[in-house]
Amino acid sequence: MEDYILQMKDITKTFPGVTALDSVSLDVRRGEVHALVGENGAGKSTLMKVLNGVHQADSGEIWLNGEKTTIRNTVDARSKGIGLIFHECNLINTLSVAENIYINRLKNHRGRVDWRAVNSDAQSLLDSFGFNFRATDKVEALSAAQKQLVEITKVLSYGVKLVVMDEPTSSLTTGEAEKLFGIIRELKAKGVTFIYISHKLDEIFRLADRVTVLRDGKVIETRPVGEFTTNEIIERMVGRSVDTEYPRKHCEIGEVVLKAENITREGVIRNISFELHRGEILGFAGLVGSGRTELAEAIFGAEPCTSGTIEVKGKRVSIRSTSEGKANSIGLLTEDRKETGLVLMYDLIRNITVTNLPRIRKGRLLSRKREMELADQYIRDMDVKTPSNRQLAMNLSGGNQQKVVFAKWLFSDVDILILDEPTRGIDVGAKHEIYLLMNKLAEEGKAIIMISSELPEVLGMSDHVIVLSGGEKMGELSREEATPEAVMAMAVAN
Amino acid sequence: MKGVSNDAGRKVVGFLREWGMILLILVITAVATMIRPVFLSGRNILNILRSYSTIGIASIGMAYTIIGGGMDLSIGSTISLSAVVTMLIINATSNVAERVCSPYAAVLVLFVGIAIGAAVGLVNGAIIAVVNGRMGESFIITFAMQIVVGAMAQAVVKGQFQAAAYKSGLFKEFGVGVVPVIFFLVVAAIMQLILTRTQFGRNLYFLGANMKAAKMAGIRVGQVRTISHVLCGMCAGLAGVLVVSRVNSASVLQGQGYELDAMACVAIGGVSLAGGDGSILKTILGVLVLGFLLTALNILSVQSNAQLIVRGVVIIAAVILDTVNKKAKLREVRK
Amino acid sequence: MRVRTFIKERMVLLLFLAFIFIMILFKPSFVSLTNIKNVLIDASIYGVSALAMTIAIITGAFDLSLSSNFAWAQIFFCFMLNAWGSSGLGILGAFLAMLCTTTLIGVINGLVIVLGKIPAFIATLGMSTIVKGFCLVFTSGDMIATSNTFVERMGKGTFLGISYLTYIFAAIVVVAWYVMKNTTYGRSLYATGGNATAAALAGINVRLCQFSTFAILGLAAGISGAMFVCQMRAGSVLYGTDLALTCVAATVVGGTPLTGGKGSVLRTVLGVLLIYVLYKGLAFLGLQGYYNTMIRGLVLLVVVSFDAFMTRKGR
Repeated sequence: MEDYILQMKDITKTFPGVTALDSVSLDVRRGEVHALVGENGAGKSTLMKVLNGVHQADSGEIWLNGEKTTIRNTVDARSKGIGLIFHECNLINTLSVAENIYINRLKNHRGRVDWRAVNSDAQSLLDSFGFNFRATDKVEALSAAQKQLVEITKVLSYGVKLVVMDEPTSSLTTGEAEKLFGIIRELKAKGVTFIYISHKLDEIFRLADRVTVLRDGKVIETRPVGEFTTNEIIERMVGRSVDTEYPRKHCEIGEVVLKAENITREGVIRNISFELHRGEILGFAGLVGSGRTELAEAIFGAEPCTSGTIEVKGKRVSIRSTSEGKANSIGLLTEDRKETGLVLMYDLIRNITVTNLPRIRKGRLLSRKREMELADQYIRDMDVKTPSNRQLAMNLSGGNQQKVVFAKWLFSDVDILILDEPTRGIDVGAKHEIYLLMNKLAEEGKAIIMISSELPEVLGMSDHVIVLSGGEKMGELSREEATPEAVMAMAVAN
Repeated sequence: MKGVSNDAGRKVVGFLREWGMILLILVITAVATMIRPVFLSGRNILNILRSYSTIGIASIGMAYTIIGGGMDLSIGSTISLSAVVTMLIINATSNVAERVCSPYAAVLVLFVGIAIGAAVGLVNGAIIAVVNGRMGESFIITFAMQIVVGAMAQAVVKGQFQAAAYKSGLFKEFGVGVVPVIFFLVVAAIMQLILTRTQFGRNLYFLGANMKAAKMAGIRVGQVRTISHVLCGMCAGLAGVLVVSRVNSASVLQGQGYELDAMACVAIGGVSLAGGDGSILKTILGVLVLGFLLTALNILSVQSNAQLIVRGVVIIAAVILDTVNKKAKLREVRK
Repeated sequence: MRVRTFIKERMVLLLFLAFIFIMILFKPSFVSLTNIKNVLIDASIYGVSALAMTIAIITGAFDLSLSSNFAWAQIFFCFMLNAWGSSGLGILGAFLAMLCTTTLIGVINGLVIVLGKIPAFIATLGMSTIVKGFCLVFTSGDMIATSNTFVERMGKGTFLGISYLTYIFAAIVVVAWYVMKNTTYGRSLYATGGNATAAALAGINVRLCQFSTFAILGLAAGISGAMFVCQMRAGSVLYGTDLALTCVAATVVGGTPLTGGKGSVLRTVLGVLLIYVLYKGLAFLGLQGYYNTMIRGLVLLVVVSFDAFMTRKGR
């Protein structure tokens, strides 16, 4: 009989329109590093949120140390010895590092906080990990990587026995990541168990004992890491052989439509130059926090660049706001379609026509009839699956929402489309449709910039790839040169 | 079992939200008429409409800022300022001997009043746009503006009450019979058209619903915000002119409490104070409810100070109802 | 670098010092012992409310009903003094009864906001109207005076040349500072204002924290009101109408941003002193009341706009 610290049995969880987890079972042995891999939307994060009580499963059981248990919320999870290090930051920026670590259990005598003890405890904890910031520093003064380390310190300070890490290295430099691995190995030797979620397969091979692959909310396989090759893992993740997954058709590449030179935004991106041609798909690769989204926002005008020049179709333009970006034929499909891509409480028609209201004008007034006709046409062209065009955007599935975002920018008739994580959180079938759509748009003569955290996707769809790291351009690779190794080497170089 | 009662509860809330206003007006009318039959007389109804037409115009302006996700607490002071300036101009241009005011002055004050409102709105809007503000910022900034503009109104007339120096003339006609109601309806029609049929109106809704998404759709959010405050100020300025004509005097306290009444009307009508939702029609219904309610209280001789309490309760209740209703809607969507 | 961040964070404060400096240039005689004492008394009375407003702002809350609640405190305290004020116990009873009512108003605010989940701005604006209406009904709009000798002594009395009221304020400052800095409760308020989601995930009762600040605001309005009655021996709905905004301004001038999670009550002591130096100075310039009000309003407008500009989102 194996010694399992955790067993999750037949966990099922559904959200409106999606089955996020379909009867998932996961066994974690005491003292191992158990890697969880899968594409975005495969259900890794959802599974871990169920484990930590953020979500409640529709059905299924959780067993801890051989006993059946229920987990109500994160506090409850922590008291049962489970600590979750979220992908997103959960720190209070305005307070000190020490206070964040001990936030709801500040050492006190009859209600008087013993600041000396709190600070020195936190400091010795930081020292033991060898982190290079002080317990009394304000969190808002730290870098993204240091914040991640505070988060890790906080969870470990609870003395939890099972630590869940969701992409912990996504914003760390190589050196910092190395340090983190050291800490994980050290703690593992002391008997702490880890569930480690990462996209970076090399990390998994270095760190993990066993690997579980998830796909579309189902467990595909669990094996000791030594019994897998990289390709085998990828094949199980995507569910078919890798080449056919990206239907990129090469098409005629025309003249330069966008030329950016020395784009700089103080403290965020530095001296980035590139050219984008008609009919081209240009990939922006890099790790989270490398400046890809910031570059896109600078070009579109959402957060204007502080220096540098932009030329659109050979004409030098000034883009200081999003309306100027749009006027210069640039459209940005944001990475967060629920927050910034769509207004969820409005219907599809309104969401689509907002980018180009003059098109639905008759004389000086908007024509509702014309709006309906035009929007209808775009909804049909995009093949949005909806019972009615008056449907509110919030009622659609992720893939269909994304199609509406596409429709919205196509309606504005821009020639340059910047797609920020266009397939994030949508299912495999819808992804494929998005790829085909990108092909079609490139063929029609649009120029496309694609930002994606999924390296295979960038490599599979782009004609050229620009690799960013630490806010700088590390290099530009043609389709042939852009191997995963070459891109990763650049992405982690800074 | 529980599901059924929840379902029923949601239906009741939804029904009340959609049709509650008209229902409420009928109930108020019925109760008031039963106690004092004079309530339902044509004269009384016209009186209500006439005296609430100025609040109605101010409410329509307020609805613009609220739909855009903001708020304007300075309209009361704007009305006072517009009122005292109007009175000064009209009195100065009236024929003293015959006590007739000049028709040209009547037209002039319309422009001046609206211009004063536009100027105040421009300052409000520009500041809020520059600080990238939403409701919180607009609350504080327009609250400070209320103090400044109120003091300006006092300074203009040195704190003195201004009585009308005329007995007849075109200006006097603005406040008589159905004329104020016609003003109200014309303003409502224009503002409704702007809100639903122009680019600005559409952009305003997006701004209120989700400012970040509006910005990312290429909308000039600062410009839209500023225009909404300018239009709101213009409505308040016009209301100031009309109120002078109706009551034949102007004081620095003329507009006091208008911001509350306007907010109450907008909230009662079902315009969401969270922004991005609502219409002029709903606002008009809100004005009618408040008008009928307060007049009924008057007829039932509830004193005006106590009516202040009613307003406060009504605002809070309307907003809570809106929150509950939104939650119910969201739950329906999740299913 | 240090200097630069200091200037950036305390820009409003520096701006304010400049205002006052210019004013003193116009009227050097303003700097006198009597004026300094008067400023101290004013700052003490309104400072209590300003401290509570700072605590609320740190927690991410806000209260527009403070002005009305303050007026109600004066009115009801005068009324109770006239009824019970003949004995020492009666005065204490009057004070406590008044505090109960103002705190109750705060508690209702808190309940409506936390349970009804509606914005604090709107709820407290509504409450402000209700309380104002209540004041007017209670007094028929008139001023209510008291000739109670105890409150007169409290208002006029000094120890070492400094008013009793200032000592009371100082004591409250020490308590507020200690609670905010050194107790787990105070720290949860900071955490709630800094990032409510993260605080809730860490097991802090965020709703209780928010709720409690409204009760504190009610309590503070009562104490300020009582101190005001000691000074003026009268109460009216017309006294202190811009209190809520003045308290916000004092908080901001002191260097606590409106974004929450940051700042301190000690800074607000400085802020409230500066504000009342300015107010007193304006009165000293001998301007008409409405010009006075206009300048006050403009200063408030500049201060809050400037803070909003410095802390605007996405910066």
